Amino acid sequence: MKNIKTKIFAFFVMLFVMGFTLVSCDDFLDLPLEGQLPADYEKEPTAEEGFRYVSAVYGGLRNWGISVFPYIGMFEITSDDADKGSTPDDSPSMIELNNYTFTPENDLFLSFWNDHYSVIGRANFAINTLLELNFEDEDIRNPLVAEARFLRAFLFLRLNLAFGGVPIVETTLTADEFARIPRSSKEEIYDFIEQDLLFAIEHLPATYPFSEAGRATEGAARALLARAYMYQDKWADVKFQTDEIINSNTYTLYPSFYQLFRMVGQNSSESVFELQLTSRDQGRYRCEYGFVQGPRNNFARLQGWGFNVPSQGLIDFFDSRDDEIRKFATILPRGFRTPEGDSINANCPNPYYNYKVYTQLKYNSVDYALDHNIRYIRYAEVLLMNAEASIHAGGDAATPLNLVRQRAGLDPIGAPTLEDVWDERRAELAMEKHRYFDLIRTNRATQVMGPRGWQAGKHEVFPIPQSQIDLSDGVLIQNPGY
Amino acid sequence: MKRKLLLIMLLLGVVLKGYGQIRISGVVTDAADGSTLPGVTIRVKDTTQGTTTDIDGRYQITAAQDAILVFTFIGMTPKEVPVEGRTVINVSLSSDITTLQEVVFIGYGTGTRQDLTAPITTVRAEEISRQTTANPAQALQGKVAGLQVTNRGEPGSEPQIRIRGISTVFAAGGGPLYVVDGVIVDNINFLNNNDIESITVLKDASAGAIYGVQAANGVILVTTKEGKKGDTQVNFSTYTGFQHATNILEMSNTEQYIELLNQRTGLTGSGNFFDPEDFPHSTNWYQELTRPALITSHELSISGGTDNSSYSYGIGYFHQDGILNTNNPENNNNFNRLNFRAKSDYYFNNIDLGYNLIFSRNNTVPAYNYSLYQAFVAPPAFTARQDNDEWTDPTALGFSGPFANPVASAYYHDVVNDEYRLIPSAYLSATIMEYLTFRSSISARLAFGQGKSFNPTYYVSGLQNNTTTSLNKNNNFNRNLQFDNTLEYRRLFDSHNVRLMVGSSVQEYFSNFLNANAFNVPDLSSETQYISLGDDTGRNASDGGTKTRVLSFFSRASYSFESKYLMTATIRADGSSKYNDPWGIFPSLGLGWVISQEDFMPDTRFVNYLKLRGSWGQLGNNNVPANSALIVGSPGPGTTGIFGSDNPIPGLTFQTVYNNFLIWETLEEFNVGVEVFSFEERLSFEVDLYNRITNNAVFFAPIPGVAGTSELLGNNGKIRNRGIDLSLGWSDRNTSRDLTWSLTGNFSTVDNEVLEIRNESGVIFGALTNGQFLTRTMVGYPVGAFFGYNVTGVFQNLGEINGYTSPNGVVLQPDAIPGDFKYENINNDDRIDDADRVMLGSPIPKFTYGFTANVTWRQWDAVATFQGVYGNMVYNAKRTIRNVFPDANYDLDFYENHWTGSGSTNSYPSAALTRRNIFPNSFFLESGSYFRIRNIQIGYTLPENVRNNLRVRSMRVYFSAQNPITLFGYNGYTPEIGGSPIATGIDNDTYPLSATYTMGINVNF
Repeated sequence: MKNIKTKIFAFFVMLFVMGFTLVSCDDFLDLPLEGQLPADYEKEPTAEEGFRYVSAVYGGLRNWGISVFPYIGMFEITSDDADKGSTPDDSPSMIELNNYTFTPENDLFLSFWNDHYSVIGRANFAINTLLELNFEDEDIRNPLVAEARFLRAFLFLRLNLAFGGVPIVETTLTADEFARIPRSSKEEIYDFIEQDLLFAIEHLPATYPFSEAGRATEGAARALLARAYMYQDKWADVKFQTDEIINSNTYTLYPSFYQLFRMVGQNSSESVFELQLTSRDQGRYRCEYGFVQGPRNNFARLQGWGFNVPSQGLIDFFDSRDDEIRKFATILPRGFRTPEGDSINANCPNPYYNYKVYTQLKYNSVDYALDHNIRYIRYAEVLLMNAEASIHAGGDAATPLNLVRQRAGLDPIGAPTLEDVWDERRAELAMEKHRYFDLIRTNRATQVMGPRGWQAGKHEVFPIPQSQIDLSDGVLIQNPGY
Repeated sequence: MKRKLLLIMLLLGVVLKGYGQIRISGVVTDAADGSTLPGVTIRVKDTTQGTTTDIDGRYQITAAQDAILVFTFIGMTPKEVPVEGRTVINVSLSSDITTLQEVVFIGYGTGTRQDLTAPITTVRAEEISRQTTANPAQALQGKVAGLQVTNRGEPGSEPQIRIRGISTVFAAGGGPLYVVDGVIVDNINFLNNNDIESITVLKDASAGAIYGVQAANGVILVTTKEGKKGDTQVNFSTYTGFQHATNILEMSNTEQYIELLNQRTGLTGSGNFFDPEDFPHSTNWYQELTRPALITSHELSISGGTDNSSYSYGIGYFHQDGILNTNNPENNNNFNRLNFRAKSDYYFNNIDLGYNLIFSRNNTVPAYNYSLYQAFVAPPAFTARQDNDEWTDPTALGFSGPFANPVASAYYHDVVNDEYRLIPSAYLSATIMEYLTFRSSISARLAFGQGKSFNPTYYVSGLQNNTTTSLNKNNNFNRNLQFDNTLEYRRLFDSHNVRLMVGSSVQEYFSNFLNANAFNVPDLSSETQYISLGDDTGRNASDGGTKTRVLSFFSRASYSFESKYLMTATIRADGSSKYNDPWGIFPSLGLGWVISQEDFMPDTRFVNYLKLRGSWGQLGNNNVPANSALIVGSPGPGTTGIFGSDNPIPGLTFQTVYNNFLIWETLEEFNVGVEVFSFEERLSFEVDLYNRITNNAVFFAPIPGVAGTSELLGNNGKIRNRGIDLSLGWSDRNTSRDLTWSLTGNFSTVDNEVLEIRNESGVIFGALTNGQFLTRTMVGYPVGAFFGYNVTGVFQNLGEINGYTSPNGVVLQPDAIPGDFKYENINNDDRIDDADRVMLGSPIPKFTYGFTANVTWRQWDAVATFQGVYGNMVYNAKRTIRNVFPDANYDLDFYENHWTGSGSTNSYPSAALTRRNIFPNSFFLESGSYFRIRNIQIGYTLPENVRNNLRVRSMRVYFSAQNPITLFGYNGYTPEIGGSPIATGIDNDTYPLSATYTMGINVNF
C-alpha cells in the first residue's frame, strides 16, 4: 500500500516538473540582446545626445581608407609632385599607383571604397535617426542633420573623383537592397552632393567654440561645394560660394606659412575644415596620416614609413620661381636639422620627406605626427578657387591670388592668367593631395604625367575594386580601360 | 598438499575408469585474463547432478565417462564439454558480452549495438588512453570513419573536428556537440585521456536527432569512468617524455637568399642589389626558435563499489612545454592542466541517484605564433643579437619589408591565460511503476577565464619597439544550466521489445566579459602587473555579454521483434531564443533488419550476423550567433570624434544591416548501412552510405561595401555532403601461443557540393588574397573551392611573351617579363582578366583513412595507429607575401627549382614573385594529402609472480611515440590547415609539427 502511494506521489512530482517547463514557452525564449541599445534609444535627446550620432561619422574620417594610405596613394603618389618613397620594393600596391600599372585588384582601391561607404553608412544612420527622433526644437535637429549631410557630401565627392560615378546610398540598407544598387552617373553624384551641401549651408553655424574645433561650419560647406563646382567647371557657382566665404570675414590667412603646419598653426584663422588628430590616451584614437609620411629609419618618435616624398620635379618647380618660403616649408631633406632642433638622419633612404606633416619630437609621445591635424580645407584654397573662378566667370582674380602670394613672400601679379593660378595652387597646396585631380580637371594630365605612363581615357578615374564587381554580380560596371 | 590430493584423485580416476562413473576435477578460468572463476555452476547434462567451483575456481564432480558437463556463469557464455573419459577437465569461459551486445550510449539512454538502426561508432577507453595527446579529442584522429580531426601543434590547442564533411559553413558552428555524462559542454579539453570510459560518435541525423537543434554537425558522447562493484581499486598512471619539431620547412641560406634577391632586382629593375660579402651571417630562424620540449602527465584514480553504491575519483596533472623557444624563462611557452573528478552513484529499491563533479584548471602561456611567421619571412642574413648582446635591427640592413627580429618578438611576448571549469551534475532515477522509469538531471557548466597580456618597453628597431608599458586584463565568465527530465517505458512482451521515452530539456547559456587596460604599468614582476598601478589617463574598460535559451521536448520510440526487425523513431521540438521564429521540429526514423536471424539464412561461419539498416532524420543548427537586427552601440575609439585638438566625444552608430531575419538552418540526412560479422565474430565489417543536405545554411558572407559593413549573417545556401563510411576489422587469438591480435581500419569519402546559393551573385566569396577572392562557395562546386588563374607555363623569353596572343592577335600579357607565369586564356578573349579564373581544386579531402593494429603476446602488447587524408588541396599563401615583404626569404624548394633563365624550368617562376605572379593561381595550390604514423605504443605487463611480490594488482610499463612520422609533399610546415568553412586550406601557418616520445607506467593497487 505504501509502495503504491509512493509511486503516485512520484508520478505527480514528475508531472509538476514537466509542467513547469511548459509554462509560457514563448516568454521564456523572448530574450533581449545583452549589452546592446535598442534602435529607438533616446526618444527625446538633447543636442549633445543627438550629436553622438554625428560624432561617430567624424570618428570614421580617421579610417585608414579615408585619411591614410589609400588616400595618400591615390591622391598624391599618382601625381608628378610626389614619389612613392620608402625603400624601392616596399608596398607593391603603392608602386602600381606611382607608375600607373594599377589594376582593379589593387587592395588600396578596395580599402578606399569600403571605408568611404562604411562611414557614409554612419552618416546615413545619423541623418535618418536624427530625422526620426523627437527633438524639442527643429533648431536642434537641423544643424545636426546638416553636419552629417556635410560629411556625407565630403565622402561622396572623394568617391566621385576617384571612381567617377558610384552607387548612391542614402539609407541604412536592408539585406535585400545592397547588392542591387548600380552606379549613378558622375553628374547625379554631383547633384546629390549639392543637395546635401545646400542644406548644410542653410543650417550650419559660422563658427564653434575652440573646444569644438573641427566640426563642419557654413564656411566649410560652402568651400566644399565650391570644390565640387570647380571639378564641374561651374565657375559662376564657384565664384558665388567663395565670395560668400570671403565676404563673411570669418577667415584670414595665417601669417607664417611655416608655422601654419606646426602645432601652433592648428585650428588657426585659416582653418576651414580640419580633421583633428590626437595621440591622447597612448594613441587610442590614432590616425597615421602623418606617421606613414614620416622620415623612414630616422630616430625614435621622429620616424615613420617614409611614403609620399616630394619629387625632384616639385623641387625644381619651387626653385624655378624662387618660391623659398614655401619650398622650405614643403621639402624636408635628410641630414637636416629643423629650426625646432630635430635632426633628420642623413642615412634615411629617401632624399626628401613631406615637411608639411613634420611634428616636433616633443609632441610625439607615442609615435611620429599622431597629433598632426589634417588641414583638409584651408582659406588659401578658397582664395585660389575664387581667383580661378574670377578668371573664368569674370571678376577680380588678382586680389585673392596676391593675398596668397604675399604671405609666401612673393611679388603680386597684376593680371593673373589661368596658368598663374594653377602654378600658385601647385606651390601653395603642394603635398596636400590636390595636384593629381587638378592636372586632370585642367586637361594637363597627358602633358605632365604622360611621359610617366599616364594614359588619357583611362587614368582619369581609378578602377572599381574587383571584389566589388564580383560581389555585385554584374550590377557594377568597370571603368573603361581596366 | 593440494597437489598431492590432486595426484591421488587423478590416480583414482584412472582406477575408476572401468566403472562408468568417474570422478572429474579441474579449474575454471576466465578466458580474458586467465584468472580463476569462483562460483561457476557445473551440471551433468540431462541429470540433476551439479556442483560449483570453490574460491580458487576448482571443482570436483562425478559423472559418466560419456557424459557432458555444462559450465555456466553469469555474464559468460555457457560451455558444454564432453567428458570422453577424462578425469581432469580445465575450462576457460569467455565473456558473453560480444561486440553486438555492448552497451552503446545513444543520448538520453543506452542501447545495445545489435539494436541500433543508425550509424554510431564507439571508441573504447584503451584506444584513447594509449595515446599521449593533451586531450581526448585529439586522440580520435584516424579512429572513426567519417570523423576528420585536424590537429594543431600548439600546446593546449583544440582540434578542429568535422563529422561527415562540411555541412554548415558558419565558422564557429562547424564542430560537433559534445556531451560529457549527459552534460552539454563546448569542448573536452578539460579531460584526461585516462578519464574516458568510452567516446561514442553519433554520425547521422537519425542518431543525433534526439539532440535536435544542437546536433547538426554530429554528436560526440563522452562517458567518464565510473566505479565498479568490488574492492577499492587504486590506479596510478604517469608518463614523461619530450617533443621535438618535425617537418620544418627548409629555407634558403643567406647566400641563396641574396642570389634570389639579386636575380629579382635584375629582372624587374625594382629593388636593390646586395653584395653577399656584406652579410657574413646565415641564421636558421627555426633553429633559434624551437627546442625539444617536455611533456609529462600524472594521474591517480580511486574507484570501487558495493551493491548499493559505487564511486570513482580521479586527479590528474598534465604539463606540456611548447616547442617554441622564447629564450625567456619568464614567459616559457607551455600548457598546464590540473583536473579533478568525482562520481558517485547510490542504488536503492526503486531509486538510483548520483552526482558527478568535474573541475579543471587550464593554464596556458601561448606561443607568439607571429614570431614564427616573422621567422619565416625574415632574411637569414643577420643574427638575433649583435656582438654587444643588443638586438639586431633587421630594418637597418637595407632589405625591403617591415621585418622584425623574430627572436626578440618571442622574447617580449608576455601573455598568460587561465581557465577554471566546474561541471557539477546530479541525477535521480526512479522506477515509478513496473517498466516505467523517471529520470531527472540537473547540471551546470561554469567556466571562469582570466587573461593577461603585458607589453614591456623595449627597442629593437623603429618598427619593433615599445616606449610605454601596457597591460591588458580580461575576465570572462560563462554558465550553462541544463535541466533534463525523461520518462521511459520499457517492456518485453514475448518477442516484442518496446521502449518509449518522452522528455524535456531546458537550457540557459549566459556569458560575459570584462576587459581593461592601462599604460605605464611598472615592469617589476607579475606582482606589479595591476591596472591600478598604471597611468590614470588612457585607462579604459569594455564589457559585453550574451544570453540564450533553448527549450526542448523530445520523444523516442524503439521497437524490435525477436531482435530481427528493428525500428527507432524520434521527434524533437526545439525553441531557441536565437531565432526570430523560435520553434523548430526535428523528426527521425530508423529501420533495421537482422537478416542473419531469419530462418532462411543458413547458419554458416561466413556470416554470423548480418544487419541491414536505413535511417532518415532532420536536425537543426543553433550554433550561430544570436540573431542580430539593427544594433546600435558605441563600439569604441573608431567611432569617437575628436574636437578642439584632443577632446573625444563618443559616437553612436549601427553595427549591422537592417532586417536580417534568420530562419532555422536544418539538415536532412539519409543513411543506409550494412553490418556483418563473420568467422565467429572475428571479422567485422560495416559500411554506410549517406546523403546529407543542409538547408538554409546560416553564415557570414562578404557583401558589397556599399552596405556599410563588409559581411553579413544570413540563410545563404544549400549544401550536400554524401559519401561512404567503411570500417573493417579482424581480431583473432591463438591461445596456444598466448597471442591475440587485431587489425581495424576505416575509410571514408566525402563528396561536398553546393546546391544553392541564395544571394544575387550566386557566390559566397571567402578569403581575399592580394586583392582577389581566392575561394568561392558557389553552386556545383564544393564549399570554399579554390578559384584562380591556371598556370600553363613560364615565359622563357620576350619572344614567348609577344607570341602569347589571343585569337585576334592581341598580346595577352604585355606587362610580363621572362620568368613570369603564363596564364590560360579561358574565354579566348583579348585579355587575361577575372573571367579567366577557374576552379582549381577543393580543400576537402576526397577520402580519409585510418587503421590500427593491436598485438598482445604473453606479457607484451603493441599498438600502432596510422592515419591520413587524400585528395585535398592546400593554398601555399606563404609564397605570395612579397607585396608586404618584398625581400622576404624564399623556401629552399623554391630556390632549388626557380626559373633562372630561358629553358631552366617551365613550372617554377623566377625570383620576381610579385605583380601578377602572386594572383591566386594553380602554382600555389599544392596537394594536401598526407600519411602519418599517428601513434606507436609498446607495453609490457608484469607477470603475476612479480606483481605479487610488488603487491600490485597489475602494472604495465610502456614506450610511446606520438606522431613520429608524417609524410607529405606539400611545401609547408604542415598540410593540416583548418580555417573557416568558406576559407579553409589557406596556409599562412608556420607552427611546426612535433613528434612526442614518452615512457610511462600504469599501476593498479
